Amino acid sequence: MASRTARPSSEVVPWYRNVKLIAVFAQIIFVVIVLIVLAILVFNVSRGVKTLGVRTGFGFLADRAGFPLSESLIPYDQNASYARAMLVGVLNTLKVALLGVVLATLLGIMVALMRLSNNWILKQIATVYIETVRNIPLVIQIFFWFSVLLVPSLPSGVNALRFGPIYFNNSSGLIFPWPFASSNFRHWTIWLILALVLAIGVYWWRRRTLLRLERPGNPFWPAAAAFLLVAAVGYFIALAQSRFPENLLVSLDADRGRVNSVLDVNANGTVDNQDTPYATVPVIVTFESASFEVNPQRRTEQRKEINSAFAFPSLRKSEFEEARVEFVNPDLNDRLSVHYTGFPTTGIVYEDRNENERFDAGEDLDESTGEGFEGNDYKLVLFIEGFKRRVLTERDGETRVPRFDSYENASFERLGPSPLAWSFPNFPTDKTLVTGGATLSVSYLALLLALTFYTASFIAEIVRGAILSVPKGQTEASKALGLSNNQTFNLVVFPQAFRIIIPPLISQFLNLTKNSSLGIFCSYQEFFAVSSIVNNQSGASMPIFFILIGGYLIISLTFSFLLNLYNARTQLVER
Amino acid sequence: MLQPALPPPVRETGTLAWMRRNLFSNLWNALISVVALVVIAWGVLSLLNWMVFAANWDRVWANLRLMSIFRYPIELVWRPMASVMIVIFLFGMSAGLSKDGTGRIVRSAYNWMMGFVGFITLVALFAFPSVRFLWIAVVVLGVAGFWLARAVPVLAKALPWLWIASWFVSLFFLLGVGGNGNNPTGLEFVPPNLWGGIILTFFFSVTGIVLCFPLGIALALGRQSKLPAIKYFCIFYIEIIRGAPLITWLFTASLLLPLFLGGIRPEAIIRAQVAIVLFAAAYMAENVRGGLQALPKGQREAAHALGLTPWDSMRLIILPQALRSVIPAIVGLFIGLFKDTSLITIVGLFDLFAVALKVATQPESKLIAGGIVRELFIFMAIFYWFFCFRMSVASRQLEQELGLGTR
Amino acid sequence: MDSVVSALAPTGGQTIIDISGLNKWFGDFHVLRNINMSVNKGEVVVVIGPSGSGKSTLIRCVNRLEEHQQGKIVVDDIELTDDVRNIDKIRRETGMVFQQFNLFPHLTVLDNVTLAPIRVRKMKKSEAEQKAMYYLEKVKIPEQASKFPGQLSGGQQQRVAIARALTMEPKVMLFDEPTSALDPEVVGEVLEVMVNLAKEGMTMIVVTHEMGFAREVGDRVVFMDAGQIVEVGTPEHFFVNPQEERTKSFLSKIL
Ligand SMILES: Nc1ncnc2c1ncn2[C@@H]1O[C@H](COP(=O)(O)OP(=O)(O)O)[C@@H](O)[C@H]1O
Ligand SMILES: [Mg+2]
Repeated sequence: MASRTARPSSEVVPWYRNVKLIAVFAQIIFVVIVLIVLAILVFNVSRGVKTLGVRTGFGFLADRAGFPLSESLIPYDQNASYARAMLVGVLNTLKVALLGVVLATLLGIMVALMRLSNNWILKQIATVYIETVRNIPLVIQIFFWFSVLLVPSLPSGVNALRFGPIYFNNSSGLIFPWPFASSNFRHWTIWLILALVLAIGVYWWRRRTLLRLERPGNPFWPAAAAFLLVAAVGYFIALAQSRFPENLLVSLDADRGRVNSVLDVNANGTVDNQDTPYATVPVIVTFESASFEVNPQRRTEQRKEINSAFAFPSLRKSEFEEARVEFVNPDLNDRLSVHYTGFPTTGIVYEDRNENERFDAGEDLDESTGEGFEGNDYKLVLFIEGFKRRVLTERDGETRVPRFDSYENASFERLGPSPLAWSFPNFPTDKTLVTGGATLSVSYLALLLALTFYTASFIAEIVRGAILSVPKGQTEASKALGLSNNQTFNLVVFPQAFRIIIPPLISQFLNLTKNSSLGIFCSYQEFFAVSSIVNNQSGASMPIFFILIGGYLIISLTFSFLLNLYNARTQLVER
Repeated sequence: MLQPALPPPVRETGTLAWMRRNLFSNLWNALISVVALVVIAWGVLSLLNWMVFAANWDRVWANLRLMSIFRYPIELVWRPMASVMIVIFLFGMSAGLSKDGTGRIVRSAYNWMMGFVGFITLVALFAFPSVRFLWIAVVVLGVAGFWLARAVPVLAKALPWLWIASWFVSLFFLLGVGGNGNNPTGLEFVPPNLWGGIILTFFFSVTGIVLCFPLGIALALGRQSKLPAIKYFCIFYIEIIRGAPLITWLFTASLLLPLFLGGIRPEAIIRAQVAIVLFAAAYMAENVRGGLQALPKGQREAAHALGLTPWDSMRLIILPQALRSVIPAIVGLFIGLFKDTSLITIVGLFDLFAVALKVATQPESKLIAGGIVRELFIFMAIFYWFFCFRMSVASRQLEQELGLGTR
Repeated sequence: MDSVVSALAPTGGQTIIDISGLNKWFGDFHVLRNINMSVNKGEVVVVIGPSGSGKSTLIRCVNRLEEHQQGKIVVDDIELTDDVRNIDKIRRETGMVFQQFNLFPHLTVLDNVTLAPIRVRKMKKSEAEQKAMYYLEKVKIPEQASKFPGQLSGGQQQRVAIARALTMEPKVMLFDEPTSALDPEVVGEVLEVMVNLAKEGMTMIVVTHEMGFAREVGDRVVFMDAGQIVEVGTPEHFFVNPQEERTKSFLSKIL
């Protein structure tokens, strides 16, 4: 074979007419422009870092976070680092996204089948649902679930709805019994491993038998049955071996993900650490049960309940001037405003004037200073990430924070000795903390419902489109072969539709995950919300930008990796 | 002898037969139908009951101006209205000029729009004297545009340019020319931080789609390019932008843009708009790429073989076809943008949603038992639904018309 | 290494296309192997060969729709190099007709035909339209000028494509299986146009499976297989008395 040298050219072509060189030069020019733009940006940023006092570097991640988070899957309190706070956010994102994906898929398939059914009413219901939900912005749907439906219509506090051991109110959310692994779980693990090994064995054996007998069938079910059987038997044996340890430590709620953040408040109700940014503390439902110390002489003081339905990221400190917010009372300024790291653009302030638990239209907090903020661009409201908080203010401007129960005063729960110990909610009838069980907060539920219903409308259309796209000839051919309706759908139509469904379905999963960032609109503390709190507190906007974008990019890339994997597999099968 | 054609055996027709087929085909279906009918009837009735008797619409009604134009000076309200008039006039012209299948879709959208505008005009006629004549002018211009275009069909050539110009003119009207307070023409400067409500929602989404268009096309072409530097840059940009949710980009723009610009701090509205345009461009690029990929390779080759320059073949052969085939996707993108503008609340801007939240916290609103969140929600839901639904219908019709939906 | 059949020396006249030592690879796949061929002014060269033998690639190299890696292609004394000016010139001098017509569906027939004269030859619009109508009459569809390609039959579309190429008044026409995508009953109308064209003295390279056409108007027939020119000859010689074994077996399959 001839060697592949360049074509000899009989004449010398000037570079600006040479297609190859033009391409090279175009790219060089492009790269140079990109580099210049980048250099300008880097220069500006580095100058801005000096003049605007923006933090760079990831060192801040190790700093103390100083704010509590109302929901966490891992132990967290405000002494934890920023990094841990962000991790809590990521886990909260996953918590809502994973369940949302499952529920949206189920609902989507159901709606698609309704739309394809031959019942006219069902068809119309499905159509109306899809056409409505798709065409209303997700934020407004979150607003609906949270502020229009759940919060106003659920009873508050101790008046929770009750279904047996399940409680539901608009401050704590849904509280229900939940099994936790106790110290005796290890007796059971050996059985679980055994069950898994056996299940794999059964699967393999059953598959071979089916192949040998040349029968259709699914080896999965016998394997699953074997697993369940062994696991169940093992559970009872483990139960018999289980002992109540003599000195089992009570497990604090903090270990269950419902962190009851306790401020640095000592037993007599004063704040130890004056630096505690208590006003930016996300206020969580359990605070409601905090006891107040009300000075008897000052019965006239106002009791305010600040109910922030929507927490917005506050403006940065450097924007204070823009907002033109000023406290007339310097004392209040010291004790509150410095800790209000921001001025959310809006918020809802309720006031319980008559102390009858009905919250009337409230004023802005500044009313306590006798100074209104009307006419300003921004209303000043406490920056509250959580749901409810009471603040006692006094006319003379002295402000007191409520005293919160410390750990010693919280009620504890001993888990039973069985490997999986059911923890039942201990719902307070007085003003103590809810303990036991597991909780899904109202914010979580609102976001989950909104994401599920919104995404399901898209999934339904994907599924319907895919099923309709299977040519009619396929159905006819399989009917002609004598397959029943069900067999036709299960063996011929659905497998073909499935291939079409998967890629857009995965992209809907991705959309759902990205949309979970709107949790900030219902005070759900997922990745984005936590990042924006961290940004407000630390001012490290550059590194947080990289973490945020990088974090979401990793999620996206994971999804596209799954998609590529799937595509590669189906292509292999097609050959 | 030829067998004569016989009438078919008696077919079941009429309502009863229809009901038997579609509602009560078997016991199970009948059960579902009955239960569903009862539940729907109950739900619709109680909703209507609430909306008519229990809901308190006074606050929504009283705040209509706030929710439409926010703090745009009321004495200058003719300026946003002038933008509406321009758009309606051009819409009328487009409808008047359209002929073939796609034209039918434009015309029916125009009819809807005129119905909607007519409705508002009627309301304004009785309830809002300050804008009464402005709305009448809107209707008149909408109709005039239609008939003008009918009478002078050559305008078809100018139409695309008029549409592009209309954006600039609208911007000009909204913004004004400066001279605070005492500009005799009434065109004094209205800073964008006074804009809000529905005009902001519309302005943001329209500007987003208009400005992201050239950028999106450039990115799509770049992604298809044979030159690796350009190609990978475009892929990088598109994938990064699409990888993270819009809200993070709004957040980024509002925090970091001043930093990137060396301390220059553009208005919040500009920061948000930049974020939306850069964000939408990535999605636009993917849509356009779809159109480019769907174009047969032969088109490009034929253009080359004829000796057209790359620029000409792009402009005259490739883009016209590729863009035409992705019109439905672009409409879809616009619907997405229109819905997504509700996120600009996050950077402190007052679109409809943010204003509604503000209205909910007004002292007067909170005097009402239970607040007015439900009423506000219904108002917003209907507003968004009306426009998004109409556009998605148009998008679907276009898809069918362009023969994409039937594959 | 491979058997190289030297191009049959053109019988007098002036060479307009000269290809020598042409090699091309798609990745590692050696698709054109040492092709030598020249075409005279006014000559009709018919290229035949089994599918995948590189016929299309060969003629697409002539107007740089495909880039060649080795060898020399000269069209009308212009060498095809990386020089954009030369590429543009050669594309202006060669017209191409594709198997799939490749008409521009968003333009009317007239616009399809006048596009290149106006944009590339910088002709005035009226002049271009006059010329376009002349060639549309030549391919016998002047009455379809204001229609869109989608409204025409395959045969009509292909004739428009020929008119489109002719309106640029090229010195050479390249045809890549112009009748393969057509229904049998309309093949004739396209071939008729091509025969007329050949008779008027147009230089043509035609890839086709229409052996009747090759016999009637072909000056030379080139048989390609596996990227090589296996045999070249006049139609009489080629069809009646093929020399090579591969040619014989190919002919026996298609005749
Ligand atoms: N763009 C390309 N990339 C890779 N291989 C190609 C490409 N175009 C054609 N080929 C291969 O080159 C060979 C010759 O193709 P072609 O010239 O189209 O053959 P013919 O026209 O004789 O049928 C075929 O095997 C084909 O698969
Ligand atoms: Mg070919």
